[in-house]
Amino acid sequence: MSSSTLPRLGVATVGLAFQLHYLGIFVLALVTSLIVAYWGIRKKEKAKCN
Amino acid sequence: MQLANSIYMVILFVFMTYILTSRLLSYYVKKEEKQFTEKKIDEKRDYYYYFLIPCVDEEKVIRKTLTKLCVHSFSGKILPIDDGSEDETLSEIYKVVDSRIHVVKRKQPNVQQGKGEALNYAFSWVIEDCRKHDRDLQQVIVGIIDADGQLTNNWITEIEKIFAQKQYSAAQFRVKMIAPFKNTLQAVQDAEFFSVNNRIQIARGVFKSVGLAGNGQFFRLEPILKNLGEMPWGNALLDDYEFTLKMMMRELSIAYVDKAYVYQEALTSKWSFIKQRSRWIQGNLDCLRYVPEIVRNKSLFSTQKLCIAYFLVQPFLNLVGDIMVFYLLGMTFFKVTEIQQIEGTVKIALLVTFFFLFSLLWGMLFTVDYLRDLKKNQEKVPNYWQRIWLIFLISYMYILLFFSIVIAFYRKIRGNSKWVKTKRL
Repeated sequence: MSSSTLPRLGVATVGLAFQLHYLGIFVLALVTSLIVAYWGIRKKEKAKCN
Repeated sequence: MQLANSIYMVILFVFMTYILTSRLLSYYVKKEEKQFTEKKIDEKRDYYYYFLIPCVDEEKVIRKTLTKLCVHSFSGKILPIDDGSEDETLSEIYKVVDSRIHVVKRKQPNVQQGKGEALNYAFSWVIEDCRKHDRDLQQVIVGIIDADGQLTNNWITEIEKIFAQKQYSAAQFRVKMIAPFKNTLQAVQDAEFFSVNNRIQIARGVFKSVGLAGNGQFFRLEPILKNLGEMPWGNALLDDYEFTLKMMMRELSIAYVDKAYVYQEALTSKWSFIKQRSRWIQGNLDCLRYVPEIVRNKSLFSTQKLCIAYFLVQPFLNLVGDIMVFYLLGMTFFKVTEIQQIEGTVKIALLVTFFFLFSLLWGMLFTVDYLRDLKKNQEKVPNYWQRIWLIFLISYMYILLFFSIVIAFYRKIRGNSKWVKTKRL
């Protein structure tokens, strides 16, 4: 590994970590919103039945 | 930096969850609406309408608003509330000749005490008028529009549809900015109200948490009078959300109408925009005084409490989120330049470009969504350059709003609660 590869890897890692974090948060938010939306819809359906 | 990163991720998670939930629920509601044909209203109701239009220095818009409203055929009264205007507002009002118009004047020293106070004053006029004419309060609808508000032609049909359903005490119309736009700032306000807020309101409907806006709201007189009394508005700078909270705590339901809109003028100047938003944020902070009552309230559903909590916590999330963005961005550049031993401005420039473009993602998504909404509703689409700039402005709106947040917190801490009126240009 040449000495100049390390800093480049550094930049790549920062960028990748940022993107992975972002992606992870997005997936987590998507799953949570699916649960919340399902909860809301079920409540609405229940209210309709009553 | 690790702590800042974690805080930022939590805030990002909350924002994303909120946006995605709104998106999913609004999609579900619209799909469900398509499946069921609309119920026909068999019984034609003869509602009596009172329109309250608060005015402070509205000479530029009030005549047009009244003229447009008078075109509609309805029984009722239109009440422009002159709250101490110093310009030609009154003479502009008098130029519109219609027997339904009755000017309600506030007098010194009570003028310009806030929109809530002006509405309470006009509300007492409405109650008195109802008593004088022995009106059936069940049949009285009170509408509130801004001095620049214009309703779409189908408003009566939509109102009748909503109030044919006994469970609703109030309704909020979709808000649309008047096009064509003079600049992209106006287009971004339209995207925010017509598209983003529309989805949020539809989703709130599922959770029985629709929020009233200051413009385009209607309510039945009888339940408001019975539950909130003769002075229903408080003195929060966000009078509409304070009114919403009071209604929710007394189990009064609000419907959201997306098939009829209220048009209003968007602001053209950045400074006016910052000032207007700082007033809204401060009003949001004012509503925190209701937290103990909300927590104790047993009639509110947990979903409603969750929606209220999100709304009230927004100024704090935005403040901390913005600070974290600035801090993390600064630290990232600092670290990268340290790793790179500041050997090339090209690399830094590349990194800046990467972050900049990556940040445009949400702006792009919201712009596409907005343009689709406009086309679907046969509304005027912003011009080519406004569409391009829209992506940037939506993505970087938080920088502009950061100033509003700081001003709002500063004013709140200093105890300055004077109503900062947005001037018409």
